[in-house]
Amino acid sequence: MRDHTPGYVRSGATQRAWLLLLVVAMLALAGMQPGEASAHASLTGTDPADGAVLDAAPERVTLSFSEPVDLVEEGYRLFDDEGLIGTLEAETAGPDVLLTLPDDPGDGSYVVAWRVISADGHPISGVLLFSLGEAGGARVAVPDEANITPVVSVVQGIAYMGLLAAVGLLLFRVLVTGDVRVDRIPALVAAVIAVIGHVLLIPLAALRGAGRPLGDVFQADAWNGGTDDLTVIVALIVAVALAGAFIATYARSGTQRLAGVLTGSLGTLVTLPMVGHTRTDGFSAMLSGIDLVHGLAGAVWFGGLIGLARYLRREGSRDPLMAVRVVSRFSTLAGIVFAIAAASGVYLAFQYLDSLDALVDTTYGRLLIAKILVLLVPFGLAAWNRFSLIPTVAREPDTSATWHRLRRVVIAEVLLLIAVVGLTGFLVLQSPQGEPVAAESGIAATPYEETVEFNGGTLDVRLTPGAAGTNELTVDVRGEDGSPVVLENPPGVTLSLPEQGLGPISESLEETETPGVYAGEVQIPLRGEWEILIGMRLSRFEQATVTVTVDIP
Amino acid sequence: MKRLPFACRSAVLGAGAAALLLVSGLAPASAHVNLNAETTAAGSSGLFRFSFSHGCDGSATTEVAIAIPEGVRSVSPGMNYGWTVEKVTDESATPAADGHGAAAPVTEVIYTAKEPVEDGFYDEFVLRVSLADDIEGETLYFPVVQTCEEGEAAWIEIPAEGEDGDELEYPAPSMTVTAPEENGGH
Repeated sequence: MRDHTPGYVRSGATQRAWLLLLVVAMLALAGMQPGEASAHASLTGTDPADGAVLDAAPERVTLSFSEPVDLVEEGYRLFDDEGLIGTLEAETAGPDVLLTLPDDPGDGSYVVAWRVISADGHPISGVLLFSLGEAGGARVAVPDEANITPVVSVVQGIAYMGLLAAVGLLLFRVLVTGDVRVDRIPALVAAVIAVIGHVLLIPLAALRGAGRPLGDVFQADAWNGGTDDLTVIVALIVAVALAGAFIATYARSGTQRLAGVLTGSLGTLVTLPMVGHTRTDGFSAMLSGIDLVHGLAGAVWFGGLIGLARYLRREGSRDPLMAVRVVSRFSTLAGIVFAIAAASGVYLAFQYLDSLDALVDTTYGRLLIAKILVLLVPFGLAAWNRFSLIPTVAREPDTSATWHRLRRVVIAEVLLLIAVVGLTGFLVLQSPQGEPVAAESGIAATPYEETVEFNGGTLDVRLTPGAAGTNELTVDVRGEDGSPVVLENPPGVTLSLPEQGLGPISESLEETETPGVYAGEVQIPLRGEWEILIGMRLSRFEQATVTVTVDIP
Repeated sequence: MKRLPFACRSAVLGAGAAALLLVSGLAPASAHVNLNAETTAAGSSGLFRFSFSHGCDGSATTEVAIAIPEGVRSVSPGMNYGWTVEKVTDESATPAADGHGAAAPVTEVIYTAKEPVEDGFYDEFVLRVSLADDIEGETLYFPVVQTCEEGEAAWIEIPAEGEDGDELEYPAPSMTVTAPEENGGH
């Protein structure tokens, strides 16, 4: 038989050999399958033991399971009082998992959060607590947690400046000078500053809310883990709207330019009421609208002044008559805009402040007073412009000295407005009610109490004192008719902290003298929003599970 | 088109077969008590297979009690010769008025092992179940309590509103009732 296969296989014997090899390989692979799937693996012991108090730091932590398990990448983390220290190196040794601890961890309480996959693919996770050098296992949340509000305020102020300047510059060209050539470069610079500022606010706002230090801005979870989606949306809208307004300046017809720039500007300014105090009491169209108008007025004034300053430098003495018209036009516009800004600002202040006393009593109020005082200066300057300086220039349009004076006044106004916008950056991060906006340590923990319904009755849950450390959890089980329900076994409790991926931590409750009431000691090692799952065996075939979320400051 | 050389073809076929084997082997076998309902149509009758292959945390199984939910019109437990079987009925309930007899509804079916079934051995119970007519779309849960020489495993968790059943550790076996068949079969 003639062999038609070119090159590789020449004879029938070789073909059979290949086939045999393949069959053997397949069988070998099949033989390598995991053996009969077992039930979920379980933790049989740990070294150090859960809750142990040790004199010296162990080199490693050993987790012993009922059978060999698979490791989870980055699934082993070490926490201390202040939060996450880092991930731990892990390796398996038979049914054990060995975790390497860092050198010299120092005295204190530690939490090791671990996660493995048992042979049947089921993930198991848990938490191991131990202390070094300290008696007692109770942990207290560290009182000095980071407060990066000042930094965030500065970034917010700069972001605002970029935003207002970009919008105002584009509107200035379109509304006031009416000419085709646009100050694109400063507008672009302002827009870039605005976008960068808003992007930086994404992690900064999250860190501030979580009380984490500034250095954490380099950690990935500051950017996506604890992010308030709103900051991301705002940054996106600002970028897109400014880009749109910018592109519109290249449009051919004046109407198109105006429409595009206005739309882009409004789109950008819409982000102002989206964040901050306008949202305190739910959405109010009136409040948001006034907030937007306030922003628009500010933008026109601020950006317009910058545009005017640049205009004067370039055109001031060259075409004095035109320049006089431009300046007068802007001055009138500025006057109207200032009135709008002032009126809307007063309205907003009234809405946000609880009382007139709050003006003096709260940081918010005091910042507001400062803002108003600072604003009086550019207002005064603008008035002087309108009623004194401009008529002088109009009378002697050829004197460059007068133009220089005018330009200096305008620049002075710009600088003062920069201060005003900077103050606004701080203003929006202060609570008008006088309490800090972000949860800060130092607030006394309040005991948690809540009544939850489940299929079959109600559960009264109480956690005292409701702070990190040792807590007493009391559970009162009642039937639909309100009478106490006595369970055959006390409810099972597990605690977890989803935001850190901690848990589940199992705790046990015991019967108390009162029928239907079960209590026990639970350890809450870290601050955060903890989820407590309470499982009750109501009857042989009925299990009810209730989940409560407790915010531990 | 010229065929690929034999070696290449075999390699591809072999790799494909090996991949299939790998995939089938890797699918985690369930350690839960499982329900395989051979019929799901409302109003129909068919065999429901409850199976398990593990004890309670390694301990041998001595008893399996299956709770029968509302929505099951009648149930005939199958005989499994390694076990004795008992039906628990609710005498106080009014009998179903559907012409199938005035029997009190069965609320539990309890299988007791004659010899404890070691962990790692498979067994199943076949029940002939008749589903009610008007429960299309409902999910019926059959909580199972598995008692062992040491301890018990209560497969009784029912997912709450919005909760994902896959996340439960001890889920109750369940099946969802589908539309009734054209010829309402028995």
